[in-house]
Amino acid sequence: MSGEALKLELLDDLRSQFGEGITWSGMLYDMPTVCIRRNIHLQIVDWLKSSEKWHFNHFIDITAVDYFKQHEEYRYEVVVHLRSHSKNIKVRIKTPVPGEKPELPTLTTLFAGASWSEREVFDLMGIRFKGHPRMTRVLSPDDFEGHPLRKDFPVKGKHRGSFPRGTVISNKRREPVVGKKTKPDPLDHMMPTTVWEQQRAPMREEKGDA
Amino acid sequence: MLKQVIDREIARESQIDSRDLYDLNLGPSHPATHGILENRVKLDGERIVKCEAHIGYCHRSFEKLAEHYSYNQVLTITDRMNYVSAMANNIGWTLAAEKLLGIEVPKLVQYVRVIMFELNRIIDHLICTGVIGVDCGAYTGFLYFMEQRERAYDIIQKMTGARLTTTFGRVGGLDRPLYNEFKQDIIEWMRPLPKVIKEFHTLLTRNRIFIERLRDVSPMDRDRALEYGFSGPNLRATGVEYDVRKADPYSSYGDFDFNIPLGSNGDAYDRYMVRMLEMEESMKIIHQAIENLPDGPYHADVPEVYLPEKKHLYSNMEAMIYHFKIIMHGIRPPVGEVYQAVESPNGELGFYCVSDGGPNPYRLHFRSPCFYFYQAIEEMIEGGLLADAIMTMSSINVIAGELER
Repeated sequence: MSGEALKLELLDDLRSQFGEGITWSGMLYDMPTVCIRRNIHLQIVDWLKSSEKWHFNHFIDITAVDYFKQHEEYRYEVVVHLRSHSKNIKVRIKTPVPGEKPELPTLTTLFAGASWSEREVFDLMGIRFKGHPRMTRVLSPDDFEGHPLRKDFPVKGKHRGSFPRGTVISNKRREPVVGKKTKPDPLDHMMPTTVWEQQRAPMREEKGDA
Repeated sequence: MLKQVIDREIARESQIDSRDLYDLNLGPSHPATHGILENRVKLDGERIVKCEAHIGYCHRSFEKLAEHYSYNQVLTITDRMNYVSAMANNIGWTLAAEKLLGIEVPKLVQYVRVIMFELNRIIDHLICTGVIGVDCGAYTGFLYFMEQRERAYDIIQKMTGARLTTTFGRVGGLDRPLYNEFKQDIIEWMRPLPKVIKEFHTLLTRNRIFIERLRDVSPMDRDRALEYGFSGPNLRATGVEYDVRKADPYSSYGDFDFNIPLGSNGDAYDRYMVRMLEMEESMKIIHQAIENLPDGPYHADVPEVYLPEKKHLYSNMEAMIYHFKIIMHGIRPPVGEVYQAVESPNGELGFYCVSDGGPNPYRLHFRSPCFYFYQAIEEMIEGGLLADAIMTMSSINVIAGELER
């Protein structure tokens, strides 16, 4: 099929254009994927967008994955999906980001749609995008602490919320204390790094504190 | 700090003393915003000078939850994303999981999915187009459409047992065999639809007041729309011919003959018209699928993924073993990552799933179409009238549950 050939041709073009910058390239299921070095993150997207031949002008998605304690040299991967309207193919670009001071140049200069996606990645994963016009939280409240999609963020939250489990709101004695932070439960902090090691334990385990 | 910056910018740009501007919070709980959306606007008379969109009032952190759910449990999350057409999300997720597992489902399942997908597209567009009418004062058409929507919910209830949170299908097939009168019910349901749509057209489409309210409201340039990541009817209204059903057919969409309605200006009227015409195309697809509905099993033959029938558990050793394995160990796809896009009623709904061989997705990202076109709202309503902002919001059909996940 011509679609498959096009995708392989795209990968060849990218390899010849960026050479050293690309650490891995290939097909993952039906998606041509390139893993790149951090310094060409902006360059490669710029090239894909401005290239006469490929013209990747349709913005699809930016997201990030936290590979906590799985790789030595980096922790996060920022994943960008783009689509070429003229060629009708998509491409995935994966950029590693270190765990300490995670930062990347912003893509808002190229795609207006990257604005909220990058804010979402910052909000939930804690990766900053340099040069973004408004690097603030988008989904969680401004005073929220931590970045929920990181693997070391417990699924129950870091603090007991305003409404502790089992609270009956009309019950005067156990009325929730709104605005006052209760002490975090020390056990809650330690979520297993890989959840499948403990099967489905994190959601199911009940500590009897209800 | 932000406030001063905005004030300064406005004063510089429009040569108006920013103290003369009127601050207004459009939302978060406002009857005309359709969901908990907040737009902080600055008004110069009736004209919007500056807008700042704030979202997050409906954020439920589905992506974090999904990392702790098994592959079939994630279905229940997808119900709650676009609750106006929940089945479309269900089908999208099952397709993504099947792609990851490398399962090919029988033709019957694919056709039933197409039928239910298009039914959901119709009821989604029914509510969106109806609400456009409500927002400019035409309530009657909305009631005509709501009646059809309720009738569709009766079919959905028969199919799945629920009306809104459907949890339709499972990874590897449907959750139960089709009920007997399925074909007749769908045909019965579709019989009055063309007449109702025609009535709606006569009520609104050529109505002068309606046209004046919608035409040239918040137009979008096609290149700009692509840069913003628009998809679905909002992108097609700008004249870009992109439909995942045609561009990257899934679930046997290649078998059906249908057209993609396109707009030209990308304004609110085009968005309304594209939706109205799409309903007719969806009906065409359902007719074809019902006519050619094949026979066959209602799930793929994948015992390690699909739960065996309950009656076999106590008589068949293998069924019991597989049941135990699936319940205790979960479905374990191979290591890999997959991006599956479907053309949900609102646009390209994508599922980016990373698996590392465990029973839960390692990372699951929902690419919800609303998130990408709602960020353009600031640009779309700035410079327009306040009344037009309401029309913009209802015509792009933003669903808060999908926007904030």
